[in-house]
Amino acid sequence: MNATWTNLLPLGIVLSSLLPGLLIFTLREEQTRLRVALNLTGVLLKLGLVGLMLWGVARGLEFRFSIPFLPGGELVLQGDALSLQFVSLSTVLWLATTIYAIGYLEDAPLRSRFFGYFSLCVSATVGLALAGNLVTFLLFYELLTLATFPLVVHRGTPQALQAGRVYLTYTLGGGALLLMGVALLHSLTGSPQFSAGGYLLPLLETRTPSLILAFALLVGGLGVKAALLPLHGWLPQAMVAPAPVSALLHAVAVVKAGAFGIVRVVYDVYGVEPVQALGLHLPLLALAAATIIYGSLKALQQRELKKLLAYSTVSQVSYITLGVALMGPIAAVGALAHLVHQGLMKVTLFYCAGNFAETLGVHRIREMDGIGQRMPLTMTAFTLAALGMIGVPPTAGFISKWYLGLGALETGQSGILLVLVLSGLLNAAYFLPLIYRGWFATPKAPWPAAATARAGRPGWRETHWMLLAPTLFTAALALLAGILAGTGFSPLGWSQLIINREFDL
Amino acid sequence: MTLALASLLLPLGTALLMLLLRLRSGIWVIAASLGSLLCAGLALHEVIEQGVQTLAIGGWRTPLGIRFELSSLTAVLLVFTAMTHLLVAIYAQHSRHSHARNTDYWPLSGLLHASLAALWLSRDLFNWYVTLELLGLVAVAMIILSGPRAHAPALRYLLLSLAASLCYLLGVALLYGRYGVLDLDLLAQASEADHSTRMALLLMTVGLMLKAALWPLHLWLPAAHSSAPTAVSALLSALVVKGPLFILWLLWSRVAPVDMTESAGLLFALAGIVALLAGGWAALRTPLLKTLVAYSTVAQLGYALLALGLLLRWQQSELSVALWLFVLAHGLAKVSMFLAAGEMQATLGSKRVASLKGATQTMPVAMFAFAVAGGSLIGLPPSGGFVAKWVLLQPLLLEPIHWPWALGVLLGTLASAAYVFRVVALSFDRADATPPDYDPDPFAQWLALLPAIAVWGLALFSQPLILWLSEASG
Amino acid sequence: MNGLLWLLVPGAPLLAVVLLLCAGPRRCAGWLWLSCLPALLLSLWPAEPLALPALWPGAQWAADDLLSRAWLGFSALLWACASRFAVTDIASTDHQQRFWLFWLLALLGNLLLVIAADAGSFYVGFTLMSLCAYGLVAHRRGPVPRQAARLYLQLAVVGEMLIYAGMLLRIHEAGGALALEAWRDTPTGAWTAALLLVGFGLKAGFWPLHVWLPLAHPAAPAAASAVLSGAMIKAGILGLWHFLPADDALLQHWSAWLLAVGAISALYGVALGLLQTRSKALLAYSSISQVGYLLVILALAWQQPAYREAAATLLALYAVHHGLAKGALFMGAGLSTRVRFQTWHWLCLALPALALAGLPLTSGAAVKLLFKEGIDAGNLAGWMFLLVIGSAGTMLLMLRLLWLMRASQRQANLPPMAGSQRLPWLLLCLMPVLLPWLWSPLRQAMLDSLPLYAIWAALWPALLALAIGLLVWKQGWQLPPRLRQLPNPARVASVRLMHLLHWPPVPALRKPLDERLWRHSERRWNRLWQVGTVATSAWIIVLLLMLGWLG
Repeated sequence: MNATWTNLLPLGIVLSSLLPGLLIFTLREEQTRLRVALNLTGVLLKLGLVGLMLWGVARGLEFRFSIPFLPGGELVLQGDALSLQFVSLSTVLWLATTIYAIGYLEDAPLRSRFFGYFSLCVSATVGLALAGNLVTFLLFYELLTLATFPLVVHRGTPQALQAGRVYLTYTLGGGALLLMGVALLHSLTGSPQFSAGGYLLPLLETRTPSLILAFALLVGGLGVKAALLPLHGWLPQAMVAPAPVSALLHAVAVVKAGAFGIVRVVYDVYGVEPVQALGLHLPLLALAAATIIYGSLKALQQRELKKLLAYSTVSQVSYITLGVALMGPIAAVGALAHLVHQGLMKVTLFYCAGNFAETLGVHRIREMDGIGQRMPLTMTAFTLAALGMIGVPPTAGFISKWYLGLGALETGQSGILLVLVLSGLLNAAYFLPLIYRGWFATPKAPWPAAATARAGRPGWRETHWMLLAPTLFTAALALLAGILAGTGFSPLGWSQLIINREFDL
Repeated sequence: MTLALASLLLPLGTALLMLLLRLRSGIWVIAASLGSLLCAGLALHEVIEQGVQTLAIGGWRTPLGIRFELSSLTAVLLVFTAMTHLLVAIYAQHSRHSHARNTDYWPLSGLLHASLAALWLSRDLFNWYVTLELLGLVAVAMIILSGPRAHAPALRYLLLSLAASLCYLLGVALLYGRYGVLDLDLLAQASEADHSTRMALLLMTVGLMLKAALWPLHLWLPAAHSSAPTAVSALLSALVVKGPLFILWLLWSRVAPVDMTESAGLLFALAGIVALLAGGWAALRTPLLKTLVAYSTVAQLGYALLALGLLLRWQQSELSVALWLFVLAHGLAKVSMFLAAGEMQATLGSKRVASLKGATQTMPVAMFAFAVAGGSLIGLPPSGGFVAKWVLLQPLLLEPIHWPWALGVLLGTLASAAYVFRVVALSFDRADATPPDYDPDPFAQWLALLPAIAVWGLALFSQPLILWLSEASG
Repeated sequence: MNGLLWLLVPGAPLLAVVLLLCAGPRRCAGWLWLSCLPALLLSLWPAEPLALPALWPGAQWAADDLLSRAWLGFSALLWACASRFAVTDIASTDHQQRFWLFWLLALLGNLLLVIAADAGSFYVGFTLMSLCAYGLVAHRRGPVPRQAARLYLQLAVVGEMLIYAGMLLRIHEAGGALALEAWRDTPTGAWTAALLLVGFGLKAGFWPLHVWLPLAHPAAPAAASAVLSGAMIKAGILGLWHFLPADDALLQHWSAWLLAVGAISALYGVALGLLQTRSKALLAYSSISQVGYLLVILALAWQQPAYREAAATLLALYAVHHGLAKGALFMGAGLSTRVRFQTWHWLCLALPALALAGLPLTSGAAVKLLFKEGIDAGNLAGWMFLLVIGSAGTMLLMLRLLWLMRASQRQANLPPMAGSQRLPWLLLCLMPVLLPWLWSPLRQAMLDSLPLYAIWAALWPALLALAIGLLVWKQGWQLPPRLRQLPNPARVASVRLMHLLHWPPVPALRKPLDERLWRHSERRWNRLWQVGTVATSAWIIVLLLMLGWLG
C-alpha cells in the first residue's frame, strides 16, 4: 500500500484525537492551559480532516488505509458516505462536548484522566465509524467499551461503581457475543471489506443456519449498546456519569455505535436481499417496536430528569433499528437521518440537564418548576430538543418520523405507523409536562444563589458560558436539521445520498 | 543452533558461577538474560532463514545420543523465556518489594532459565525428565524465598511435583521397555496402539498435567503461586507451567497413536472447558489478589487444554497455533499481572482485593497494567489473547456441529471478564480509597506495564507469528 | 423573483420575535401587529408560487385561488386587529413576553398553513399554531385556565398524531406526492379519511370533538379567544378541504353522515349556548354551531363534486364572515366586563351579532343565501327547516349574548374604553357591513339577497327569535339551576389522565437474592475442597489411573 494522502487520511482522523488523548494522560492536574490547548487542537484538527474527507467523498475519492492483522482480516479504515455521516456527527458533537466538559469540570479533580479517556472514547467512536470490515469494527467496538468505562465511573462513588459494573456486565457480554458472531462469519468467508449489498449472498443456500446464528449473535452484541429491549438495562444506570459523558454516551459514542453497527451489518455485511430471504428482519422489527414503546413507558415512570432522558434514549435509538429493519429505502433514509437527529437532540437535552444540575442543583423533575424564568436560554434549548424528540415539526425529529412512517407504509408494515403514533403520544406525555413546569409553573422556593463562576442573571449570563454555548449550538443544529432538511448537506440529504448508493437507486 | 545453545548456556553458566563464587548480585543475571535474549533472537532469525536445525550432543547419533532440535516454535519460546527472565530480573533487582535482592533468587532464576531452555530444545523423553525435575526443584526453592509462610504451600508443591515426576518416569520406563528408544521422532515412528503404550501415555499425562497444573490436578497451584515472591510468581505462572504443557503437546501430537488421541482429545477438551469455568469462578470469588491471579492461570490453561484436546480430536494442526498463541499471550499477560499485583499489594499493604479501592489514583500505571493485561486474558481485541482465541474459534465455528465448544469458549470469556473487571471496577472507587503505605514506585509500575503493552503489540505482529507457529506444528 | 415575497409572511413574525426578545414587550408590543401586514398585502396582491427545496421536503408556498387569498386576508386582518387589541388586554398580567412569544409563533403557524401548497408546510404551520395556542390559553393564572389549557393540549397532541398518521397515509396513497394540488384527485382510504376527519375535527371543534372549546375560550384572554375562534379552529376545516380529495366515492358515501354531524353540531351549539351564563362560553358554543355549518359545506362539496367550485367560494365567504364577526364579538365580550360601554358601542356590537344571525345587508345574509343555494344543489330540501331553526336559534343566542353582556356592565367603577382598543375592535365590528361593499364576491351575494322575498326569508326567523326573546324577558324566565351546572366529563377525564401521567403505576421491585444464604453455602462448598491439596490430588491421580487402566 503506498502512502498517499488519501490512504493516510482515515488514520489521521483517528490519530487526531488519540494522540492528544495519550498526551493528556501524562499531564499533571494543574496544567490546565496545556490540556485545553491539546484538547482544542485535537478537535479542530479532526474537524479539518473530516471536512477534507467530506469534500473528497462528495467528489468520489476513495479513502482507504489498511495494515495486516488477522489471517483473512486486515485492519481497514475507510471513508465512505455512511461512515462519514457518523464521523461528522461524532466530530461536531465532540467539539461541543469538549467545550462543555471543560466548563463543567472546571476545578474538578482528575481532569487529566477524564479528558484522556474522553479523547480515547472519541477515537474509538471514529475508528468504529471508519472501520472497513467486521474485524476492524469489532476491535474499535471493544475499545469503545474500555474507553467509556472509566468515564462512567468517573465520580468514583458507590452508585457510579455499581453503574459501572452493570455497564461492563452488559457491554462485555455484548462484546463477547459480537466477537462470536464476527468470528463465525470470518470462519465462513473471512472478513472482506464492507460493500453495499453485502457479501454473504453466495452463502445463502449452503450456510443458512450459520448465517442465522451469526445474525442473532451480531444483533445481540450490537443490541446491547443500541439498548434493544432485553439488553437495555445498563443505559438508565449509566446516567450517573458526569453530564458531558452522559451526553456523549447517549448521543454518539455508545448507543450510536450499536445502532450504526446494526446498519452496517444489515446493509453492508448481509445485504437487504439475504436478510429478507432469511426472514431476519421481522424479529428485529418486532424487537425495535417493542423497545420504542417500552422505553417510553418506562420514561413516564421516572422522577429524575437524567433517568427520564436515559429511558427516552432507549426508545429513540430504536427508531434507527426500526428504520433499518423495515428494509425499504425510505425507512432507511429515516433511520440514518435519525442517527444524526437523535444525537443532536439528545446531546442538547443532556447538556440542559447538566446545566440545571450544575447551576441550580436541579436533578428531579418536580424541581424544574419555573426554571424557564431563571434560565430561559437553557430552557429554550431544552424545549426545542424535547419537541424534536416528540417529533413536532419543523424540528429534526419530525423529519425522521416522517421518513420512518412513510418507509413503513412503503414496505407494507402499516402497523409500525401505529407504533410511531403511540410513541409520539407517549413522548409528548413525558416531555410536555417538563416544558410546562419549566415555563408555566411557579417555583416552589427562590433559586439558590449560584456560585460566582457560574453566576448570573437570566439570559446570556445565566450559567457558565462554556456550558451555555454548546447547548445553544446543538439546539440550533437540531432545529436547522429539520428546517433546512431539503439541502444537500443536511443529515437527510446526506442519508439520501448513502441510501441511493446502498440500494443502487 | 550454536546461538540457541548459547541462549541456554549463558544463564546456566552464570547460575553455576554465582553458586560457586557465592555472588548474589542481580546485575549478572540481568546481563546473562540480555545475552541469552540476543542469542535467542538471532537463533529465531536463523531458523526463519534456514529452517529446522538439529544437534546431536557430543556427536552421538540417536538412539544412543541426545538430540536437540531448534524449530521456529522452540526459537520463539526461547526468546519468550529470555525476555520474561530479563524483565523479571530487572524488576527483581530494582523493586524494593521483590524480596530478591542479595538472595538465592539470582542463581535459582538462572537455573530455571537454563532448565526451561533445555526443555524447549530437547526432543528426548529422559532428557525432559531431567529438566522437569530440575524445574520443579528450582521452583520450590524459589517459592521458599518468601519466608516461613510459604513453606507449607511449597512443601505441598514439592510432594506433588515429586509424585508427578515419578508418574512421568514410570511412563518413560514403560515406553523404553516396550520400544527401546527415548527419542521423540523414533518413538513416533515406532509407536503402536497397545496396552503398555496406553498405560505409559496415561502415566506420563497424569504426571505432566500435575506439573502443568491442568484441571483437575491444579489444586497446588493457587497457594504456591500466590505465596511466592512477586518476581517468582511471575516466572512460575508465565513459564514454568508451560514446560510440561510443551511435552504433553509433543507427546500426544507426535507419539500417541491416532485412535487413542481422539478419545483423549475429548477428555482434554472437556477438562479445558471445566478449567475455564471453575478457575474463572474461583478467581471471581477469592478475596485475595494474588490468589485471584493464580486462579486465572488455572482458567487460562483451560484454553490451552481445550486447544490441545480439539487438536487431538479433529487432527487439525492449525489448532496448535492457537495453543501456542495462548501460551505466549498468557505468559506475557501473567508477568504483567503478577508484577502489578505484587507491587500494588506491597505498596498498599494488604493482600486483599478489597484493598485496591482507589488504586487508579494511587497507583495508576500498575492498575493500568493490570487492566491491560487482563484485557488480553479476556481476549479483547487487539491483544495477543484475542488473536489466540480468534484462531481457536475459527474451526470451532465453521461447522454447526462444533458450536457447543464455542459456547464453552464464550462462557470462559465471560468468566475471565468477570474476574478481571471485578478488580478494575473496584480500583475506581474514589470515595473510599486505600492510602498507600509507601511511595508508589513508578519504575516498577512501568516495568509491569511493559509486557502488557507487548501482549497487545503481539496482535499487530500476529501474521508472522502465526506463520512461524504453523510451520513448527505442521 | 417576486415569489420570494412569500418569505415575508413567516419572516415578519419571526422578525417580530427577534425584536421582542431584544427590546422586551413593553417597548415593542404596540408594533407587533405590523407583522401581519405582509400577509394582508399579499392576499390582496398575491405573488407567484414559491418552491423552497432547501426547507423540508416538498415545501411550496402560494395563495392563488379565491379560497386561499380570502383565508389569508381575513386571518391576517383578524390577527392584526387582535394583536393591537391584546396590548391593552393583557397589559396588567404577568409573563407578557411569554404571551407575545407564543402569540407570534401561533400567528406564524396560522399564516404558514394558509399559504402552504404542500402537506409538509401545512403540517408545520398547523402544529406550530396548535401547540403555541396552549401558551395563549394558559396565560392567565389559576386552576381553571390550567385545566382548560391542559385539556386543549391533550387533545391537540392527539390530533397532531392522528393528522401525522393520516398525512403519511395520504402521501403514500399519492405515491409520494407532497403538493396539496396533487392530492385533490387521489382517492383516499377509509383509515386515512377517518384519521384526518378526527384529527382535524379535534381542532375545528364540531360535535362531538368540541369538548375543549367551551373550556378554553372563556379561560383565554379576549384577544386570544378571538383568534382562536376566528382563525385557528377554521384551520381544521381548511385542512380537511386540502387533505381530502374532491371527487371520491368513499367521501360521497360518508357525506350523509357528515351532514348529520354538521347539523347536530349547529343545533347542539345553539342549544348549549343558550344555557351558558358567561358571554365567552356562549360564544364558544356559537363557534361550535358555526363550525357545524362549515362542515355541512364540506360535506356538500364531497357529495356533489359539481358543486365544489361554488362550495369553495361559499367556504371562503363563510370563513371570512364568521371569522371577523366572531373576532369582534369575543373582543366585545372581553371588553364588556372591563370597560364601560357607551350607546354607540352597543350599536357597533350589534352589527357582528346580527350578521351572525343573518340579517339583511350584512355579510351574514349573503352567506346564508349562498348556503341555501348549496342545499338546493344537494337536493336536500328536507334540511331547509334545520337552517331556519338554526338561524332563529342563532338570533336567540345573540340576544342572550347581548343580555349577558349588559348584565356584566352592571358592576360599578368601570373605566372608559382605551383608544388603543377602540380602533381594532371597531374595525372588526364594522367589517360585516363594510365588507360586502368592498369585496366583490361577497357584494354579489349580498346584492342577490336584497330582493324582498329573500329579505323576508332572512328576516322572519330572526323576528320569531326576537318575539321569543321578548316573551322570555316579559315573563322573567330564568334558567333552571340544574341546567346551569352541566357535568363536564371531558374535564374529568383530562384530570384523570394528568394524574395517570404524573403518578403512573410503578410495578413493585423484585426482592434481591438472599446474599447471606448464598455466601454460607459457598463457604461450605469451599471447605469441602480445603481438606488437603495433596490428599485430594493424590486421590484424583489414583482415580485417573484406575479409569485409564480400566477404560
